[in-house]
Amino acid sequence: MRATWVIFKREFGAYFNSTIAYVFAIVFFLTVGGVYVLFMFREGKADMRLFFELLPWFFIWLVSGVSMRLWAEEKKVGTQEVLLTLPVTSLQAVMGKYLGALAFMLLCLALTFPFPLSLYLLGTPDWGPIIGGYLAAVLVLAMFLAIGAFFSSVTQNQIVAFILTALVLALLSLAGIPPVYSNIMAIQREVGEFVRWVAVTYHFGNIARGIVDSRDVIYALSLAAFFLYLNVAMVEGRR
Amino acid sequence: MAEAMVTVENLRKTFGNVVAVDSISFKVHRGEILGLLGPNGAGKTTTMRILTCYIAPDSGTAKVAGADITDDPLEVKRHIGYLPENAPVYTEMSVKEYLRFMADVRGCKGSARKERIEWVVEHCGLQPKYLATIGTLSKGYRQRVGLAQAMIHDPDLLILDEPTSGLDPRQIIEIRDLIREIGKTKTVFLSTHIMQEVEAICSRSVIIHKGKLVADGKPDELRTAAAGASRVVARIKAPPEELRGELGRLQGAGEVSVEAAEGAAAGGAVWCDCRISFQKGMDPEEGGERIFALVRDRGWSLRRLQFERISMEDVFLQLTREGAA
Repeated sequence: MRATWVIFKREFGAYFNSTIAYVFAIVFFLTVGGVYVLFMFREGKADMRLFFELLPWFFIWLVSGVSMRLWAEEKKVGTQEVLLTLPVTSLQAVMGKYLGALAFMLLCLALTFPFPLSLYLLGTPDWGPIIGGYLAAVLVLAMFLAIGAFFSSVTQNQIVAFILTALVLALLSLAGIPPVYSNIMAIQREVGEFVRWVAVTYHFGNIARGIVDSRDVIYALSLAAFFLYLNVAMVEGRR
Repeated sequence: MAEAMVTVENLRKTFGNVVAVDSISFKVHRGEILGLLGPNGAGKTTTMRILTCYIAPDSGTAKVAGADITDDPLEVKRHIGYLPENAPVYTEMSVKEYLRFMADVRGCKGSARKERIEWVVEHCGLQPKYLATIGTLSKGYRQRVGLAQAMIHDPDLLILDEPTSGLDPRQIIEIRDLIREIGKTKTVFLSTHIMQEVEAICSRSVIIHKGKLVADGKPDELRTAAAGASRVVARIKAPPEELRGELGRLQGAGEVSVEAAEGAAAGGAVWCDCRISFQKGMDPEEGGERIFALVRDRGWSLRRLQFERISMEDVFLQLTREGAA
């Protein structure tokens, strides 16, 4: 526990010394903010439904950009050898680094708090869907990041890690678009249903309406756990 | 000999078709500085990575301070301070942050942490760069940061992979002095492909070549083992024929060659360059003493008396050549 906490602190701190992380955080904030201002205010409704529906698409870039260095950089520079010869287990190292990156991304998400605040100042928003939306956003970040951390551990090239992560996250998001899974369903029903189940947008759409279903929570957490397990296996696999 | 800090038994590791480490066994005794010597690609780094539990062996075992590398890697890691090749460090951190991080992971707390950090900073000469970002430091300073990190928890065993590679001559001397200093109280296991390094700092060395152990002993022992005879070179003014005969009769003398430097008149004394090999295992200085005694007794003149020291380089080349055959 202590080792995980120490590694968490270092990892979290490293993002504040990383130019690339700042760039991705700022670009995320600017694009998400720009879209929010353009669409929300034009619709004139005091809710954030569209915002939460679009969020996974922004997360693809944010997560890929922030997670690519997680293990690839350690491998490239060789610090992984120092880290893993310390008296820590692979699981502690993986979790410490993962949680450190997650904390940084939650901070990026917190940058969007002015949006609901502005709704509160300008109208009377329904808080249920907004709180539900943020809860969902945290789950999606946790799941996306586990995927990003895993792909960062398969290569020492950060660009490769970025592309692989973005590709997989994009596929996971695209799979939930009706024409995609319904066409597959028409050919083979079970496959189509699986494609829809695995899609982040399918589960996330529910939550953005303010419905927090335990099945969606289990979906996100089990995928996160699965990829973290693969991450540990990759780190152990060096041996 | 003191008890063993590290015991390696029949360690073997392959990468695909390449046998990186081929059934090697050796011991590192408590309190010694053991050099692991071998050409690039001999399996030095692989051996060290196995001992530090970074990679697992295919077969064989190793124990560090009584703990088994396979059964209890965490305990093994607690006893070791490790400096990997090229001293990888988190470049975005300052020296202070980095050392604190390392101390924290190792579980040094409160005043103990403060004391240990002060100790390594002082002993590794890091005071001037304590607040600097590691990325801005020179190779020499980074190496010191790597050493400081390895010693932060006052480990029983220091494992240093090529601690002086990539440094300039001055830095090399500084790091060697530091290692010698540490070696007074700690057990050090270091690797190098530089023969002089072993002579300069190690109390014993193990030579590996193509994954196999080819020699194990003190540098002097290895030298004698590999060298065969030791040789003395002298310039003596004497009648060449007589000189050749007398030198040949010296106790322990083997092969003798005498070359007259100038045209010698029959029976006249001229300057001669002589090479005398002495028997295996004999101290060449004793041979020198006998040569001098001979010159003094006969009233000859002596201008030069030199010992041809067989360098570790020769030892190394000879052993690795044999290993390859």
